[in-house]
Amino acid sequence: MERRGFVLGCGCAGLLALAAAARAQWAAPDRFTRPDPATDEGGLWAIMDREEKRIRRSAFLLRDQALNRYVGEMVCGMAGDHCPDVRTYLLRVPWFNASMAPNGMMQVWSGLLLRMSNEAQLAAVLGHEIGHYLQRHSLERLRDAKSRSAFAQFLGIALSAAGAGSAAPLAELAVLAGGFAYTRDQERDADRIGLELMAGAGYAPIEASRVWAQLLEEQKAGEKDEDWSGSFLFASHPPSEERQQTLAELAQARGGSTGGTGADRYRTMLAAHRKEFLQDELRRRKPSESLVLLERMLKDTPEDGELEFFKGEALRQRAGEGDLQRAVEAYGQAASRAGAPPEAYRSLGLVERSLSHGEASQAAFRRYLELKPDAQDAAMIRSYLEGGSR
Amino acid sequence: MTGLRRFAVVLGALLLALALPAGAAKNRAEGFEKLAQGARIAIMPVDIELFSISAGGVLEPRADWTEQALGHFRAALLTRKPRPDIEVMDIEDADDETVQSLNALHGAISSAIAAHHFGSYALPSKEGRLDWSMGPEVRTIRERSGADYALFTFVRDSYASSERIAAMVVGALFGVGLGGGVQVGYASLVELDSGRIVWFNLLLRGTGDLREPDKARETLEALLAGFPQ
Amino acid sequence: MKGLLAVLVALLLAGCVAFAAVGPGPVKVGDVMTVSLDGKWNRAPSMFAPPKGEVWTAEGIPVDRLTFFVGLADNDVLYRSQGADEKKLPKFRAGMHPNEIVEFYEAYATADGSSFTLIKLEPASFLGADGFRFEFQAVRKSDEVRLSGVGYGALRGGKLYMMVYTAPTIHFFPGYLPRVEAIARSARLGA
Repeated sequence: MERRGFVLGCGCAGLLALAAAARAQWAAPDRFTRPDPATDEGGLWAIMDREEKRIRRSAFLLRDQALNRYVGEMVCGMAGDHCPDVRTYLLRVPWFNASMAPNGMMQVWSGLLLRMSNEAQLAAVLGHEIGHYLQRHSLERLRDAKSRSAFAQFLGIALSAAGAGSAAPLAELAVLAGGFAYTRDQERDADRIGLELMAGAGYAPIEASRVWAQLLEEQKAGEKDEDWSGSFLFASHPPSEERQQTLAELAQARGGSTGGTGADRYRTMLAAHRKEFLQDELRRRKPSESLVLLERMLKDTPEDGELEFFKGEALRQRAGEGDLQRAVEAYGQAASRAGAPPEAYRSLGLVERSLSHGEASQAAFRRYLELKPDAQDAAMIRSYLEGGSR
Repeated sequence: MTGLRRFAVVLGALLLALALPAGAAKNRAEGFEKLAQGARIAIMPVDIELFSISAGGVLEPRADWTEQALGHFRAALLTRKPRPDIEVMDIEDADDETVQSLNALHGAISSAIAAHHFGSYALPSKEGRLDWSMGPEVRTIRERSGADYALFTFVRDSYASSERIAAMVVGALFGVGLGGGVQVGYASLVELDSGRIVWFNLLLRGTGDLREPDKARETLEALLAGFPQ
Repeated sequence: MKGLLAVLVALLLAGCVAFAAVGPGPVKVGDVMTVSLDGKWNRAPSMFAPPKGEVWTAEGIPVDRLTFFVGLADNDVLYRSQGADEKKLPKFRAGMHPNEIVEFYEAYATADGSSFTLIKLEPASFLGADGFRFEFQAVRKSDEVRLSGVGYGALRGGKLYMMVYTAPTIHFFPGYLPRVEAIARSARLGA
C-alpha cells in the first residue's frame, strides 16, 4: 500500500518535473522576419506565398466570415506576439489535416473541423501547428537531405498539376507530403508546445489527447472495412497510441480536465456547414470510419435527426450483413427527430426498394416528394413510384 | 554536355519536329495571317518559376531568381513590339472570379495543345491544325482592358544535372512533366473577339537562362519566335 | 537507366499510345455497344480508359472527356487508380438504383478532392429503352477549372451501361452538349 503510494507519487512528481522543465526550456521566439530570397528559406517562403495566393482565390476556401473570425481569434490568442504573422485558411477538403507553412500560412481542412468534438480539441491542433511554426520545423526538414528529395518530388507533381491540368491524385500528393513529414521528435515537440498554448488559453488540456484517441478509434474501425484504404485520412498526421498517452500524461501535469471545452460554442459555429461536411465525409466511401464519427457525434447530441440520417447513409453505403435493416431504423429515428432532411425519406425509399418492401418504399418516396417537390431527382423518384427503372 | 543531356535535348527536338506539319502553320490557327492594324495586346500575368537542382536531384525553389526573372521577362515583353503600330499593354493580376476562371481554362487548353498538338498525342480530328478556342466568353477581358488580343506566358526553368533532364523529357512525353533541368514554357495568343487561340508556341530546351536581362530577352525571343507580325 | 528510357521512348514513338479517329458513322464501343456519330471524335489509348470502357475526347484530355462504361457486372469498379488496391475501391452492385449509381460515380469523381453538385436526375431513354440521365457541375481540384457534366445510364441483364461527358462550363460544355445528346440517343446494344 505504502509502496504503491510511493510509486504513484514518484510518477507524478516525475511528470511535474517534466512539465516544469518543458516550460523552463521553451519560450516563444521573437517574431520572424522575411528571409533573404537568396536562401533556401527564402525560396520556401516564396513557394508558400504563391500557394497562399492560389488558396485565397480557391473555390474550396470557406468564406464564412464569422467562422473565419472565430478560428482566427483562437489562433491569435495562442500565437501571442506572432499573431500578426499567422494567417489561417479554412478549406473544404474532407480529410483530417492542418498544416502550417514557414511564411505563416496555416491551413485547416474541413475533415478536421468535422472531427473535433469541441473548441478545446481544435485549440490543441491549432496550438500544435503554431508549435511547428515557432520551432521552424519545416526549415529543418527542408535541410534534411532525405526529406528534401521527397519535397522535390512533391513540388514536381504539384507544379505539373498546375501546368498540365492532369489530376494528380490527392492521395499521391499526401503520401509524398508524408515523405517530408515532420520527425517524431518534432511532432512531440509541437505536441508539447501545443498543449502549453491551449492550456494557457484556458482550455482543458486532456482534450488534446482525446483528439488522437478519437482518430485511433476511427482508424481501427476502418481497418475492419473491406475497402479500407490505409491511413490516408490521416496521411500527414498518423495517430498513435504513444502520442495519445504522452499527451494524456502531460495533460495530467497541466491540470487534466480543468478548463473549458467550449463544446456548445463550437457546434454553433460549425452548424451552418455540418451538413456539407458530412456529405463530403460520405463521399470518401469509408463507411465504417464515418460510423464511428457519427456515433460519437450522436453521443454528444443524441436528439439530432440530421446525424441519424447520415448514420443511415453510411449503413446504406456499407450494405454489409444487416446494415440495410439498421439503415431503415436510422432513417426512422431521423424522421422522428428534429433536423432530418427530406432526403432521409428518399434514402428510406431506396433501401426499402432494395429490400423489396414495395409499400414502405412508395410511402417514403411520396413523403420525400411532398417535402421537396422541386428536388433535382423528383422526376426519377416519380418513376420509381410508377415502377420503372428497375 | 554529357551524352545523356544531349540525348535529352535531341529527343526533345525530335519530338517537336515529328509532331506535325513543320513551319509557321504549326504555330498558327488556320486563316490567321497577321495582327490587325493598330491592335492592342494585353500581357496576361506572367507565370514563371525558377529552380536550382543539386546533383542529388533535389529541386529547390529560388525566390531571388524568380523575382529577377519575372522583372526581366516582363520588361522584355512590354518593350517587345511585333510591329510599330501595335500597342502592348499590361493587365492587372485581377482577383476577379471571371478572369480567374478564364485563366484556369486557358491553362487546361494549353496543356491540351502541348500534349495533342506539339506532343506525341495528336488528335486525328484536328488534322494537324492549331484549332482551339476559349469561346466568345473571353470578351470579358476585351471589355475590361480594351485589348484585341491577350498573350499568356508560362515558363519553368531550372538549372540541373543531366539525369534530371532525361527524366524530365520522359515525364513530358507522359504529360506529367517538369521534373526540372530544362526550360519549359509556352506562349499563347488569344483573339479576344472570337476566343480563338491564333498563335501558340511551346518551348522545351536544355539551355536558356532567365537570371540576367540579356538572357531573359533571348529566352523571350525563343518563346516568341515566329510571333505574328 | 538509359536502356529503360530508350525502351519507353521507342514505345511512345511507335504509336502504341496513339489517339485513334472514330466516326463519322456507326462506331462500336467495347464489344457490345454501338453509337452513331455525326463527326469525328478521338479515342484515347487504353491507359486513359476505365477497365471496362473507353474514353473519347474532342478537344484533348485536359479539356473534355466522353467516357463509356460498358457492361459493369456485380463487384466491378468504375476505374482503377494507380497504386490503389482494387479491393479498396467502391464496387458496382447489380441491385443499385439510378440514385445509387450516380452516388457510385460521384465517389470516383470526387476521389481527387474535386467537388460534385448534382443538378438533375431523371428517367430517360437509353440503349433504346428505360434508363436515366443526370447532370452535374464540379470544380476540378488540380486546376480549379469549372466543369459541367451529363450522363446517361441503363441496366441491362444486371449490367451497367453508362456514358458521361465532362467539359469546362465555359464554352465547351454548351458547345458539345447537342452532339453528346445525339450520341446518347443513337446508342444501342449489339453490333
